Amino acid sequence: MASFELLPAEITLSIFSYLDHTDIAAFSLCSKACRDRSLLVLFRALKFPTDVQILLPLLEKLEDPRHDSSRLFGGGFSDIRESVRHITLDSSGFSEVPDTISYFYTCSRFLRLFPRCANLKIRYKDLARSSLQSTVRRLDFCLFYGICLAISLAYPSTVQNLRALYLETVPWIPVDEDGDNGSSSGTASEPVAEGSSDPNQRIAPISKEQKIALDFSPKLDSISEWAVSVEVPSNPDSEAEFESPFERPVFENLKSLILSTSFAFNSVASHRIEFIKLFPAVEAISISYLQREAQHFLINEDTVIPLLHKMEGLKRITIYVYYGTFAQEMKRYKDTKFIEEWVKGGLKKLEQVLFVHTHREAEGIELFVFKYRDLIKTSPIVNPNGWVLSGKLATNGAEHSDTIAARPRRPHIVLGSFDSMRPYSGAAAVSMYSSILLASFQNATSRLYKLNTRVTHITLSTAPPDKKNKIEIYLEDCAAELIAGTFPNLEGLKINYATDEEEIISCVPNFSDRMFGEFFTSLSNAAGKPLKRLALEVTRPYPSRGDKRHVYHTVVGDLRALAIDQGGSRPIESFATINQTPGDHPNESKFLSCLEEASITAFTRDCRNGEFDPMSIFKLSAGTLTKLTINIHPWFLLDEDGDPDCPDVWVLRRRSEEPQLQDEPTVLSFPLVKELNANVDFFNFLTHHDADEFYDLGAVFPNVEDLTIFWADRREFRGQKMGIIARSSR
Amino acid sequence: MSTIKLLSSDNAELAVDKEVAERSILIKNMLEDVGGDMSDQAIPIPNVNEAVLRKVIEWCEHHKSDPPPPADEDSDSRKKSTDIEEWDQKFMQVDQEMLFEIILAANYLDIKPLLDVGCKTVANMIKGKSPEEIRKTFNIQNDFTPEEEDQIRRENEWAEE
Repeated sequence: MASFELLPAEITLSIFSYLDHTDIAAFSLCSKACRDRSLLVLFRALKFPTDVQILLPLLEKLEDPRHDSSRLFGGGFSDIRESVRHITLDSSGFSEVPDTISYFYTCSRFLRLFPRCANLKIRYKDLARSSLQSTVRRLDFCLFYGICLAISLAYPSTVQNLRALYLETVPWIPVDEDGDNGSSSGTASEPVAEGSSDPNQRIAPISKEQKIALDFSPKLDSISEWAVSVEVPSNPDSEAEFESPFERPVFENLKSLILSTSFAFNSVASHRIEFIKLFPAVEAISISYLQREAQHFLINEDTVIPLLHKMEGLKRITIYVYYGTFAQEMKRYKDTKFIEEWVKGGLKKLEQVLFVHTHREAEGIELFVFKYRDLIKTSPIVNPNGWVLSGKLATNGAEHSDTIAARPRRPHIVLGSFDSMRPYSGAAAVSMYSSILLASFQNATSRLYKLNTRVTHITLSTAPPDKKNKIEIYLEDCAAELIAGTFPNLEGLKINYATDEEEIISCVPNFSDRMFGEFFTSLSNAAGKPLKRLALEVTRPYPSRGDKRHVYHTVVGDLRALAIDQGGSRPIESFATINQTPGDHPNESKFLSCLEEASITAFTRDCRNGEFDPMSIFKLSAGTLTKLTINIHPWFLLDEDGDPDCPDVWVLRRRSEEPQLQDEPTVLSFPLVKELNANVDFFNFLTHHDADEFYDLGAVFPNVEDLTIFWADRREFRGQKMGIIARSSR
Repeated sequence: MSTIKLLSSDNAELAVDKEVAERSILIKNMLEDVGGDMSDQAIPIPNVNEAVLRKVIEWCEHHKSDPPPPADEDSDSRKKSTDIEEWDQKFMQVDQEMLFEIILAANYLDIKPLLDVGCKTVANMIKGKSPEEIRKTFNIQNDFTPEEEDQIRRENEWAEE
């Protein structure tokens, strides 16, 4: 009987996608199986409790080698350790600075327990806006440094993996929910102007004697080297002196920095050099909380913008603005000259500037996109690198809508999991104009925002593009860096080829190789790590052209999972090339030399007529595969006369040869495959086609523990599975 | 209008309009692969039995004129799980086994709108319920001890929404 337990994982995920966190949490309490199913969804993002008294005993247990930490989280702690990608440290509930420091000190010790955490969000109270004292602003600045320092020095390995850092300050004073854009009362997202602060709600004065050690990293020999003592005098006229706490880069690998903090605006400007030193590799920066006085921020020397000029590696700048005046301001820059100035001023690598103006009432966003090779070339500017820079300006929502509406049907991005390596799976499918979609993922106020760290797999579907060059444009829209910067935990990419328009194909002569090569490589590079999973799905014929060889060595050197669904396509000639010449090129053989999971779907006889033969592809990775999924249509297994046409890698035996099984050296063996999924036609073909001859399945898959036969009712064949294995192993 | 035949797992042959059957992307692609002419030969649907296949065809019949899922589908709609149109709600008023069978069939046949409706229906059955109510709804056996359940409740506080 079909039941919840029998639903495939991707369907469970799809169901979860309609549920709130609390519903998933309730589901996880139903049974151990439910718990298992929801574990990875629930604990993708962790938020540490703010009570240090709860944290400390747990921390001591986890740090004690004699304690078995695997018993925590119902025995699933080891799974959770691996699945956590996002951690939030939230000290916004603390009213005293020492409490804040104590909390971060404890939390920083926890971070090492989650080696795959790539995304760290830190919230703390906005000290600067709570007081007019300039010294407190400096404290805000130093507190930020203290947090960075504790994390980076205590656990360098954690920082090595960190791809995105999100800093958010929480205003001390409740804001007026009814405020509208540009009004003096402010909005929910608007920081309260300093002059309007209620003195009664300000931070309690810090005593003159209070010294705060901002280095709370544990047990470091060099603690004196990094420690910074801050004396905060209660007299606002007396400025404290601070030494620059950093002499070397701290977040050396951090590519993406999201600042939603007064720090960015109030404190950075006066400490810009130190700030830049912290993040030498940042390529994408996102800034929120630009205030009313930022009206002329693009040219104002006192703002954060000039600081960005010094960050030479910056490729993308995203700025969120919440004020109505912004649109008027932007008109002044319609000709994009200011970006030209930025490029000349040092941002040689700049590729995109995105201003997002959020309309709270309409729940919409207004985009001001400036990027190279934009679709509308209003005023191209050639920058020193020879790129064409052009601007597109939508000055109001209506114009923006028209622009979108005038576009042809767009290709789309599917976000979800293809863990099962099956075609057509996907936990959440989103089809939108990609720039808007990505902007939504980056916009902290959007409902999509919380998803961005959860996305580990993306499908790029070319959909049916209806005009020339749309595929290329689509790829550019999905620019690798943009996707990687938005989805810091990206692990896998699925590419869906879907075109039958010869016209389109002819204008993108190396389309398939672009897919394989430049795009996947640049995505891997942008992510800072090789993507582990690649799936290719072809739903229409396409010709493969161009030189394929040069692409592979940069593409898939570390690929661990590969899924191919050929659909009704012609052969994937690229694979055939590899297939025929394993080892010819050292990197070509490497291409499939470390695959751990593979899935192959082929439905038409055309696949056999070409050179593509999935069985022989797996020759290259037979020694490393642990999970294999085969879904092959009967047509594929029969020749044109309807007789069995087996791939030659399988060894056909006669009954009389059984005793010689162990001496047979030519059997292709998958010694590590423990999980085998195959369609029933495939099994029927291999096991039943002749009474005197048989394929020695036991020799091919000697260690299968979990066998699933699909393409038919599972129950019917489950009982036979051991029989099949037993017989073939005999 | 041309008609094609589908062969269920229990060997029932069902005639259905090609246009209706092509709500299934799997069948649509298969027909295109063979050049569209399958008038004399039944297409085997070996994962789906007759009863379920009839239900799926009923859904496809009703939705045959629906426009294809828009490319600019609003992602926010994914979160409005109660948003199921009236006919679909009635259609999904079946016993649980049939509901899950329909979901599995929609997944297999690649009928995404039907799969979405199925997932939404299940999500609605979970939404707002306590663990005990969810167990009752899906006949799930509670295999936690009270201590384990308490431990899990505390652990869940670590998960960020």
